[in-house]
Amino acid sequence: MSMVKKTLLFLGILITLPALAISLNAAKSQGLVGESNSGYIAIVDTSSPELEKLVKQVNTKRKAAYAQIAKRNNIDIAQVAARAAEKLEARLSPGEYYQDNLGRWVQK
Amino acid sequence: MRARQLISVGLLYAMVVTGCTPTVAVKAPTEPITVNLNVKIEHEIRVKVDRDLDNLFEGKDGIF
Repeated sequence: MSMVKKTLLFLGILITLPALAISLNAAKSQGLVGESNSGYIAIVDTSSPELEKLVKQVNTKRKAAYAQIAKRNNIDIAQVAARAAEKLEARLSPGEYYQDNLGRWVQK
Repeated sequence: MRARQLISVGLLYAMVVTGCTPTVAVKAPTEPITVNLNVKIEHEIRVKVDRDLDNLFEGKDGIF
């Protein structure tokens, strides 16, 4: 194995390792996931099984929480989620991604 | 003669002034009570939902 290949392999491992058990905050700050315009998180650009797992877990919990709020206030869950999207966009740190009304990713 | 001149000048002035002033039509809303009620309820729900969401975001679940 050449030196170049070894270096590439090492770099590859170094880059993929953090993605193995990534937290939501880390994924957001790295620009891997962003706040969608529907109140849930979504993958911004490149998908991976780990990211998809994270997105699914987070969104399942969010949906349950939104449903509770919707029930308590006697409104539709979609209205709660839409309002959440607006508020979450405002809470993002600079550099993090959110989706505009047309579904385009915007970096805050 | 002087009075007639004054009147015509006054008329011209009035026409110029009204011509330059945009007409603002004040029209009463047709169903003010219904509209106000809707706005009030919407606002109350919005405030409540906002409060619920803020509490949710501050939660320790790590999903926001």
